[in-house]
Amino acid sequence: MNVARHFQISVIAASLVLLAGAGCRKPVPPTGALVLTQSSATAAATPASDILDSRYPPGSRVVLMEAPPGSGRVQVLSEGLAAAGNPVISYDGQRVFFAGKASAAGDWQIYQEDLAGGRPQMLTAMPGGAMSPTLLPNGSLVFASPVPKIGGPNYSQPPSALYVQSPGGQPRQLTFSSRSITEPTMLADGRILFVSTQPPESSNSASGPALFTVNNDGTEITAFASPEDSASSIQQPRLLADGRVAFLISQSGSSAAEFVRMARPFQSRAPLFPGVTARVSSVEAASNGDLLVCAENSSGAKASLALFRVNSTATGLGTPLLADPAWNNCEAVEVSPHRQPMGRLSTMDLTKSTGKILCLNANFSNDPADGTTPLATHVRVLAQTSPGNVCALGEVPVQADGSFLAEVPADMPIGFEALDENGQVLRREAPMIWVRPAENRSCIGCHEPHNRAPHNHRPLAVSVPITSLGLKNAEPTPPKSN
Amino acid sequence: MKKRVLVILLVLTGLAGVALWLRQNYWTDHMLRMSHQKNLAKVTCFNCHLVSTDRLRWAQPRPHHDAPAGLAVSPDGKKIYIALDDRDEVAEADTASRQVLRRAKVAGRPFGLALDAAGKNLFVTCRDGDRLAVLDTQTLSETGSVPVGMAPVAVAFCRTAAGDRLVVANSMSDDISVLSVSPLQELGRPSAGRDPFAVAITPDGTRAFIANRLVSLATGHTIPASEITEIDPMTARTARRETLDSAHQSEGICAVPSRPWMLAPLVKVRNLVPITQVANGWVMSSGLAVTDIKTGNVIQMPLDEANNYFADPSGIVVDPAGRRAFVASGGGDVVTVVDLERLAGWLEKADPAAKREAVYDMSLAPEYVTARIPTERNPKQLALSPDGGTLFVAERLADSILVVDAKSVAAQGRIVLGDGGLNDPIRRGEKVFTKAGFTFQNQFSCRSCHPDGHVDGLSYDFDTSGIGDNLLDNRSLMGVAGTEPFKWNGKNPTLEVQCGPRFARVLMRTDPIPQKELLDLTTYIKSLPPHRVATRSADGTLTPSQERGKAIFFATKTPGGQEIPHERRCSTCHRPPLYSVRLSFDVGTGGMFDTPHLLGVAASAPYLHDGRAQSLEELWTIYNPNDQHGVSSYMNKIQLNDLVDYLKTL
Repeated sequence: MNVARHFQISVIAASLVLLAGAGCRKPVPPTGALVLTQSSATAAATPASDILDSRYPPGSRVVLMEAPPGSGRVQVLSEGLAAAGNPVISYDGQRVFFAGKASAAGDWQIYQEDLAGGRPQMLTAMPGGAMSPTLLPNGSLVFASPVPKIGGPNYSQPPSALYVQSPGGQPRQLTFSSRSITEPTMLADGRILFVSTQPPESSNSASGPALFTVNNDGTEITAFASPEDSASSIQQPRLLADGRVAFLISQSGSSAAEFVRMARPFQSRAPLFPGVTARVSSVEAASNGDLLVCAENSSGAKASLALFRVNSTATGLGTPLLADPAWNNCEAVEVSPHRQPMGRLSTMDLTKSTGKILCLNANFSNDPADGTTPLATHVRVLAQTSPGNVCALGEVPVQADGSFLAEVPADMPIGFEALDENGQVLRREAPMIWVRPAENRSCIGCHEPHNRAPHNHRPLAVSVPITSLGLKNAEPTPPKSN
Repeated sequence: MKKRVLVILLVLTGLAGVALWLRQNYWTDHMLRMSHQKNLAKVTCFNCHLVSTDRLRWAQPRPHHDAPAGLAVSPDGKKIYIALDDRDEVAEADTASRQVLRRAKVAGRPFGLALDAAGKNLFVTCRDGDRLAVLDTQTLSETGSVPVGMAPVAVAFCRTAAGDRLVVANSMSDDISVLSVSPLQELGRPSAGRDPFAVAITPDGTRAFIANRLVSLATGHTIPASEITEIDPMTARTARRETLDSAHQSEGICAVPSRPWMLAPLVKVRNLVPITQVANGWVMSSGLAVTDIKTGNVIQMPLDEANNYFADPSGIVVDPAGRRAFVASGGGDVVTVVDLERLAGWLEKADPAAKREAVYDMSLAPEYVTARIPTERNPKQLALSPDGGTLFVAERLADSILVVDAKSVAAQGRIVLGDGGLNDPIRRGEKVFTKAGFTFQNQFSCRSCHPDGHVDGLSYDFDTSGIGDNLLDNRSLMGVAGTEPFKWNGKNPTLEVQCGPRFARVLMRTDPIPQKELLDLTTYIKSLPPHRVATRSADGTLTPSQERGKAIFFATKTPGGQEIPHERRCSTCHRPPLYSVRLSFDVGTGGMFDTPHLLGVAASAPYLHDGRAQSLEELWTIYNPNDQHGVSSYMNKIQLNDLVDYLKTL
């Protein structure tokens, strides 16, 4: 009798707890829902001052569309904003982050909204605006700022850089290049992939946009893919479920989806959909490995942007999943929990103001003329102290094995000139890379191929005292181009 | 009675307290005198007293598992034999039904397997028994046994003009036993490289190739190299030694029927490059050594891809047509499929410089790697059915054999041997230890530097505030329980600290291993007993030379009667039973360093914090000019040999 009574009480108590829990829990975003960026297909074109204005004209909106697309309920998430786009879903599938602007004349900033209901909440207040939100595994927001103006470099505005902002915290700058850095996105290994431009001094590569990576603390700036046949612009790099990195490329007024080859020819680009000639405006990975593609729907009466869902090996786009003559469906992301990238513990020490650079062989490069070039005896280290102002920090001796080691100011664009015994410049790398405070950075050579692992030898440079270079004795140097 | 004991205890405690109060300077003085530390913050009574190995994790019984080691498939392809070294058993399974048919007890940790040409006799190397056993496959019972070298791990059968031969790799005695089959007897024991681990015979039976796991003895600053040893199985003589520069850990080797090639997976190591990063294979990558059996030339080819690594390559098999090779990646949980025709095509076009540089090119592998077959945890040994149609993969830490259609590379099913040991924290910890998924881009696992929990014989230049100033000898994890603190500078008080955030920051370059997995990992490490040594007799008695060495080790005076200062006696810092008081000392090598324990020290060369001493002898002949590392200047050659002989028994 007692046992039965206890059981009854337990069941009632458990039910009450469950009911109370359910009452407190937020509604789950609907299964199969999508978040879309839509812009009016009928509105007249307006002049754009920055790259987001051109991508998301006034009236562009971010919407939550329940399944099935086209007939499910549509909820405008960017309610009250003059324009919005660039949505990213949190790893738990509960929130969306996007770029938006409160008024047509205002700056783009990053907004967050709970997918279960709510209002857009502005997360950033960056001068010059913020764009391209992406998320670290710990929930911190990474974005690019300021939003680049249309018309190329403008020295009145600093180049765009990446920032990281923990929930409720202040933004901290992650990248320190002399060139604009935009379009950050996370790779599964925890690195942040972004778009920047190759320095024009690279003798064997074009000076167009290319893909680079940094760690989540801004260390280890590394070239990821630098297409030799450089396109006029690279946008929206994305990691696909099969490990490929896709991106949009603009050429001759059109944009196409491509991916980076990790096999030979290494880091070259190849069409993602070889059979598609229509303009593609976004490619995102879906949870089952499919691709969500927004592209021109040439089959319709009017060529607006439609949404397609294809498997990752598809060569064409097939029939659109969603095509609306009134709206261009510019971007689409799936509302679902997805796998977090790997984390990483920082090796930085913010109490320090310098970092170290070890080059294993300054005479090793992918320059075809390398065999006939005299050997470098010194390396001049350059720093860009402000936009357009480059100074020489000093010279570092190159050891017999080609190695050199230098301590340089942190968080500043650093470049190099390899010098022969007469002081002639053999190779030049304009200030573009940086070290973070207390970072120990290494490279194999100057302009070395990106697919190389180092030889196993102890560089001679580590056996001699390190050359410390500071801004104190820096000499102004006119920017040089080959 | 209890009350009485309590009163006695209280009185004794009180007396001890009074003594301490009266003589506190005495105890402080005692600790300063005996520990030779300037600061007593890290010194307790237990550095010297009440130390016992009995309660350590490795001295306790542990669960055993059905981990598959060596595999052998019968000539008709109907049966597969599986060595279960942790169970002291050999299993026979039906390849069609994928069921285990029977098991036979084989003492001494059966590990490597080979069948004779008719499939009537199964030869089994017994890793802890130091013997080769013969099983009749009809009855699956032992019909013969013969002693071989120490820790035999692999065996190959071949036919020569002088009769059938067996070639056995003895991993701990660094030699190769060559035996005749009838009668079963050892004909010779030529020396190999360090830690010979796999054997393959050329198709014509004239040569045996032996892959060695460890690099040859060298100081920490020199470019390491392992070797592929080539012997004549008929005469038991060494024919050639091929060098693998900056490569080691070859655990498999296989001949290619249609080409004059011998293939051995390897780890391409970059231990001399400061570990400022791990991206781009900066620390290590996987490769395949292609040895031309006619010329002996070796070309190292990469098996990893840029941004995607397949750690700890192990077993290898080649199909009978010589078209494809299969390589197990124990850390990456895949079997890599290499198209040998495409590989040959690349090699034909490549000039000598391109061949030399091939292994550094992380974009090259997709030229000839055509598939990666996913497996359960820790694929190690592989076998192919005689027709080449079925691939068998020993999933060592899953207690299963994956059966794969070799043509389509599709999994067909599994031979289930055990439950994978999910309830055993030691086994779970071993899974963490061998998993490359905890490191950036799956580049390596704990095991990559600590094969079987031991050492790879290398020194690595770890990242610190400087670059290139922290070359550190890799220390064995065997017998490490109870020897805290860890790290050469003695800064890590526990294994959990040693293997946690610190390693994540400086080596793995990821988030730390989650707490639950970390505890399993350290439980596994603590379960590793000290390395077995060759020179200790079974009953513990010492040879006269070892006895003399022991007297030197514990000496308080030189043979000439001079007092040896307490801090310069071997046994002061290397005090039994751990042979370490677990404190740091300056032995004249450039700073204060943690005192390593000496259990199994014979097997952990090189020595000193940066691996500068190739051998135990060099500790005193080269690196102890001022008698700071024990008083050794009085020793003559015989006395030094005696001391080393004794150390090798620990």
